[in-house]
Amino acid sequence: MHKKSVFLLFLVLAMLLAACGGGAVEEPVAEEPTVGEDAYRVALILPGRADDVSWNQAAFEGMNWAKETLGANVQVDVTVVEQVYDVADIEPALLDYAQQGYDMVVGHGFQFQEPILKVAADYPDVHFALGTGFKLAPNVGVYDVKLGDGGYVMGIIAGMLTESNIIGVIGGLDVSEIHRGHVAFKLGAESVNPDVTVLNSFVGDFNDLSGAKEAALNQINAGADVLWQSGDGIGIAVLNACAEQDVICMGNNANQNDIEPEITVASNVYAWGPMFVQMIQESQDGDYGDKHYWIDFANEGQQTIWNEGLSDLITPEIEAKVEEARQGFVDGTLDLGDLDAIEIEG
Amino acid sequence: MNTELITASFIIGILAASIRLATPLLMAALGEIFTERAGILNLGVEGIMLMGALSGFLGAFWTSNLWIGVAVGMLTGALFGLLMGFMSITAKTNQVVAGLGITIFGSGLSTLLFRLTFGLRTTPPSLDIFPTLRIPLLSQIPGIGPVLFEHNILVYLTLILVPVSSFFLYRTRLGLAIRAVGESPDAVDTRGLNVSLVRYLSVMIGGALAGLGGSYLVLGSLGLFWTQMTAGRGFIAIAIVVFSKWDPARALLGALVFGLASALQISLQTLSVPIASELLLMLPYIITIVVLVSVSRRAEFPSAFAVPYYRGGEK
Repeated sequence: MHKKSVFLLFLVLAMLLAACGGGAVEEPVAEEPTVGEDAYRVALILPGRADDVSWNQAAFEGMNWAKETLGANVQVDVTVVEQVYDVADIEPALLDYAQQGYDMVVGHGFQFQEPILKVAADYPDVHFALGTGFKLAPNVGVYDVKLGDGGYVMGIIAGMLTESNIIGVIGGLDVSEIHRGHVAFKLGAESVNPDVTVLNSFVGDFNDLSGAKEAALNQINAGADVLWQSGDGIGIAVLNACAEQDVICMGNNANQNDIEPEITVASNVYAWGPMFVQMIQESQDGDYGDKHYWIDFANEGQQTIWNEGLSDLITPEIEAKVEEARQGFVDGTLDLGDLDAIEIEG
Repeated sequence: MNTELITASFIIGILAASIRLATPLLMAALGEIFTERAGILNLGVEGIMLMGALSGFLGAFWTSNLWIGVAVGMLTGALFGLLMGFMSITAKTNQVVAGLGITIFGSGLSTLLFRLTFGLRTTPPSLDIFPTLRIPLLSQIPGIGPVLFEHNILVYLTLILVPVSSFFLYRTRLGLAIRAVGESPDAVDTRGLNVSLVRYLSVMIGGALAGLGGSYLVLGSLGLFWTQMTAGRGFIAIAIVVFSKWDPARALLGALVFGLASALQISLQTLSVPIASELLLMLPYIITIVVLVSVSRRAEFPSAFAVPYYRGGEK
């Protein structure tokens, strides 16, 4: 009896593992990635879904853009792995692609930092790219978004649109670019509206949409009438709460103006494509690594996209202030300094 | 700290949010009470909730009928309960391993099926959730009205399910049989009742209610399905069951305590109290651990808990 049970257990578990593959979904971008002799191979490892209309989708589309843009001169094969969310899954995923001899392995998130440094030390010929972080190595480059700049602009819009003088921002965790974005959101709002109160909430989980919606409802109940969110799945829930309560909201990462078009005035959009092109080219030329690659307003990797359907809300004064700040960031006259040094309370 | 934001309506909002946050936990916990009362530990609740969320979404999305979504979510949950039943009752596998396997399975399968169904999208598919149902007169009561009587129908149904579960468990023959197979399956067998059948039924009821808890997140809260959207609620529900000492009324209390702690945590962040957000986020979980440690020493697990039944002691 016991042997039979053990056998059945293993059978069932094997079926389970075969069916779900540990939770990660691997999906080649091309129908059949033809691995040519000269093809440059990139593995893009995402912590979430490639169609989250946010952090992951922006990278997914950016990498596809890079592949097509470079396509005229060099064949780039891109393998996308989704939902490598748990830290325990990251190192095996990195090792897998490093062992397969990929030219570049991209870990799209701050939580990839330690695993990437560890694996990169063992595979000096593979180039690793870390999506936000601060630790570098000869074969590790960090790419990041100046979300402080983007958040500042979102803060200007919210600070000028609010009638209650209470606005709010919601994010996943108080780390990396999310921290900078939230700090600067407050600075931006205060720069145009000295009376504004800025509420700030973290959900603690990037997939807990129900919890994020409650955080948004709570801020709205406290009087907030314009909300921003720093992205990921939970950002969709913030848009959802705003639509339900008829409160103005703003998007981040991808152009989210179409998800809840009735209330979304603008999105802070990331365009990673040109930066990925630069990274791949430098990798091929042997100049890669040991440095930061940024997307910002100057290289148009970060853009403020207005929702044309709500253009009557955007006064010329708001547009002028936003343009002034954007120009300031581009020519360097506006510099927010070290946002990491500013703590967020609550 | 933004103390000026604390108004009567803000406090009422916290209490109403506690009930919304408690609802999916309570659904799953009530189900797990039936499962564990029959002597089976089902750690697959988290995965079953995810499958309930996905199937509830698909059912409602395709038929444009939220009730069909609820039914499909519960049916899927029951089927996963059946799978758990097969592994624990018929195959007599280790229930911890089998349950965790179901959690991994449910989380992976729900992700996979969602992608296969909708492909890569640039706007997530969504639907309208159950509308708020204001109970006439009762919702007019100042303070209490908006806290208790301004929710959607799934919240009310879950609250009604508490006395119904108690009645079923303590006042019906089947309820007695469920409790008996968890305490003394030998005695039940001697009386000519089918132990396996009662256990299968219990674990399927448990699965159906976990499926309902998952579909609440989609049909009663968001109108969207999202990968891993249960975010650990299945395991919190199992903790609530231990706190409840397998009693539906105490499960209501446990779910409300966790719901209140979550709502309080969210509000403290909004009020920007000078405590790091990471610490505030731990608050509901710290309360859960403290409550569990203090209660579980006195908790009397069903005698045949997590023990497969072998007729006549055969192994």
